[in-house]
Order: sequence, then C-alpha cells, then structure tokens
Amino acid sequence: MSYSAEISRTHPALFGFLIDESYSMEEEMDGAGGQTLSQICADYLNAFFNTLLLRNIDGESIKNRFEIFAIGYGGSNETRSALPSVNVSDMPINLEKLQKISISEKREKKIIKKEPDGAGGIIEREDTVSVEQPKWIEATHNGNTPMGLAFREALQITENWVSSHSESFPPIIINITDGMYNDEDPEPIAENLKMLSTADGEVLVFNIHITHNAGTNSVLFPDDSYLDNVPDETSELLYRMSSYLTENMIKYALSRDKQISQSAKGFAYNADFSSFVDFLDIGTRPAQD
Amino acid sequence: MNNTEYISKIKKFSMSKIGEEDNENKDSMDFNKFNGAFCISDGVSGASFSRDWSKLIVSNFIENPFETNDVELSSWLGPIQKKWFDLVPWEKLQEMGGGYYEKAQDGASATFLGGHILEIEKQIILKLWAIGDSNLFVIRDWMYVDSFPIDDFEEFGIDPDMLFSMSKSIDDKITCMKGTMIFKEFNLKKNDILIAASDSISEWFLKNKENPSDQPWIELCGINSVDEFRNWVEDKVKCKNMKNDDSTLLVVEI
Repeated sequence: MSYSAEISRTHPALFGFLIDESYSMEEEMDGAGGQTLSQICADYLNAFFNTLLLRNIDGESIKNRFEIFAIGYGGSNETRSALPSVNVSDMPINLEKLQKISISEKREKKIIKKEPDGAGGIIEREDTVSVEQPKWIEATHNGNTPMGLAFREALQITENWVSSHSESFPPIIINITDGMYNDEDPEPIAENLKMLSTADGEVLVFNIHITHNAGTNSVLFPDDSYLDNVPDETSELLYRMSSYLTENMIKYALSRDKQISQSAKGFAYNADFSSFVDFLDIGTRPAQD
Repeated sequence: MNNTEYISKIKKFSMSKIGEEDNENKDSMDFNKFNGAFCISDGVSGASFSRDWSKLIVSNFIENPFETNDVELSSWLGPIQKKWFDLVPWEKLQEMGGGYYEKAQDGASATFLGGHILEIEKQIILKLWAIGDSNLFVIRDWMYVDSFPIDDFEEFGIDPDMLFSMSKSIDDKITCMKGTMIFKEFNLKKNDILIAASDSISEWFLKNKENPSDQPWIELCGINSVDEFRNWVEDKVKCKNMKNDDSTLLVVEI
C-alpha cells in the first residue's frame, strides 16, 4: 500500500470527478466578478483537463497515461455525463479521447511566435492565428443534490476499472459540492468506494466544498482536529468521507510551502480560487509525475 | 587528432524507462572512436521533441568537440537550435490543434555531459564539460577516484540544469541554458576506466559507492550486452534501488 506505482500507458491512473449541478450552484461567489459556483467549478476543471493534456503531449502524439470520468448530479435526482458526447456507460475515457471530445472555441488571437536566431537568442514575432480554447465542462445548475446517486455511479465505474487495472496507481475520486445531499446517504457508498483497491493502495476519495462566501473560515487539507470545531453537518460528513492524503502528496504540499499535517485529509471547506487550484494540484500531482 | 589507440574498450547501452517504447527514450549518447569525443544528453521527458534535441546535442559535440575550456555556449548552441527548429513540423502541429503547437513552442531541454580523451605528449588527458546531472566516474586500479559534475547523490533533484532548444527568459535575460557550464580536466593512466551515465544510474552509483561491499563500478563494468543491461536496470527498479527513468551507460577502458 505505497501509492508509488509508476503511471504509464500500460498502467494508467484514473481521475474521477463528481460535480454538484444542483440549483444552489447558481449562487455567485463573493469577489469572483459575478461568476456562479458552477461556472467557477467548470472553469477550473476545464483548466485542469487542459493542463493534464498538455503535460502528456509528446511531439505529435499524446501519452494515454490517465483515464477520466466526470459525472454531474442535479435535476430531479439524476446523474449525467459531464463530458460532451460521452455516455456515463462509456466512461472512463483516455486522454486521446478527452482531447477529441473537447468543445473548442476557435477565435482569432494575436500570439508571439518564437524562433531561434541561430546565435543562442530568440526571435519573437507577432502573428494572428486561429487558436482553440478547449472546453469540456459546461456550467449547469438545476434541481436537487443527488450526491448518493453520483457516488453509486462512481462506485460502479471504479469497481470495473480496478478489476482490470490491478497494478495501477489507485483511482482518485474528487467530489465538488456546495451543500448537503438530498437523496440517499453517500457516506456508506463512499466507504465502499474507499475499500476498492489496486496492488498499490486503496481508492482515494476527496471532497471540495465551495460556497458563495469562499475564503471565510476556509480550510484546506485539515486533519482530525478539524472535527473538534466543525462548522456544520455538511462539512463534518464530507470530512468523514474523505481519504487521508498519501505520503507523497504531503511531501509535495510541503515542498510548495503549504502548512499541512502528516495526517491531513483530502478535504477543502469554503474553498476559494487559490485553494481550489491548490487542491487539484496537490490532490492529483503525485499521480502525475 | 584522429588516433584513439589508447582506448582499449568501449561499451554503450541505453534504454527507455520501463513501460515505455524504445523510441520514447529521451537519452542520447555516443562515442566517436575517430577523435575520442563522447557525449551523453538526457532530454527532459515532459517536453516535446526532447529526443531530437538530445540527439542533436550529442551528434554535434562528438563531431566537433570543444577546443577551449571556457566555451561560449550561445554561439555553439545557436546553429543546433536552428536545426531542432527546422525538424519540428510546425504547420502540422498547428493544424492538429489541441495544444501540440503551443507545447512545442515551449521548446525542449536536455542535460549535457561532453568528454574528449586526447593524447598530448604521451599523456592521456580527459577534458569534460557538463551542465545538468549526467555524470562521469573515474575508476583506477578498481577503486573509485573521482566524479563529475556531481559527487553527492543528494544533489540529484527534479529540476537539473539544462540546455534549451528555444532560448528562454530567466531573471529578465534571454538565455540558452539554465545553470552554468562547468569544466574539469583529468590526467588518465593506462587501465583507467571511465563510466558515464544518465541521472538514475549516477544517483544509484553515488548512493552505493561508500559501501565497500557494494562497489557499483564492478556491477556496471560487468554488463556486456543489451540484454544484461536491460535485466540489470529492471532488477534495480523492481527492488526500488533505482528510479524508473530512461537509463544510459557508457564504459570506456583506457
């Protein structure tokens, strides 16, 4: 149980995202220029996917070292694929597929093209080109918060995946929500999810809690002392559902000058912009290098 | 000088990290038996066209090794950067979309260890230039003598010094490299052994050199075929004695 398996095309890693698309995600985040919680969530996940693709591009090809699933939950207690043109039954998808299904917004943009000058310097010239801004997740907010159902979908996908990837780095499942579930209790399902494992460790379940008053009493990667003064029932539930960070994740966080306990959990409360980015970086990076 | 009779044996091996294809090996290495020049360059795995960049560095150095100790790198690298730029299929990458063009525009990076073995007035001299963490070890009478440029395994990090295929701005200055090129000269003797290796093997070597029962040079000198090299690397990685990385080894016996 070392969470140190090499990530390669033969032994890819899995990232799963559960995205709250309930009505309350329509709220605007304070200090975010009028952006809703769902928009912020979509923007950061799109940026994360794009960065993941860029990191795995090698010349004219892409290394399929990761697989992805993303499930939205909301409406009349229903789940749906949060990725365009992919059914939940076809998830997870590899990076090549992720790249193909992006909804690219093409627009003319002035860029600086670089070229060596032959003497160790660089020539930069401005050019107008058609560039693509890839996008996968659309901001959606409607209806209830069927978090239990979303975890049930994640359990099924992950169960199938680990059975065919027994040597891989264990899956990392990240749930992003602004509130309490209103279907079945997701905690027992999350516990079942965490009991799934590969030879390298158990499945990791992390939770990001976001609200309109982001940054107020925000907490990033707390340890069990968090339960001594937990602000509400939702955060207590999400904390309990979260896995402990791996040793390498803690090392990476410390190398980024983050104050973090050796028994920190993958949980964020009232996450603001910077903690959202840090969460995705630290919570997935040891599986990226 | 085109006479390398003072070199009695050369062995060279290179393989990609376990789990990757042979053509994904970003390390390059070669020895020019006509002039005694050799070079190892380790292309950074996260960049596009790193393999091409490390190959160009190696081929250019061993064809025309440096003639002075204090090299003006930008004038040497400039034409090589142009060659790299010319072999990247820019138009195709732009048509492909999906970030391929932008990734290539970031350029490739690679370490550099260049050596030149010369006979001057019956003395065999080894001149070495290095930037980054590809390393060379000198063995005399089956004992470890010296190491260059790194002599402590704790100096191996994830961000070594590099040569860039596209010069970058560092501290508001456009530069073709991160770090500083360093030079060293050794007087060699008959039967000396030179072991040059990329970072994973070098780190393992330095971790083990202090243990009298684990003289790492004996293990490395005992490797005689590609299969033996592959088995040796796979064994070390499996036992977690060495990190899984592209691995390159050059052994030269004087």
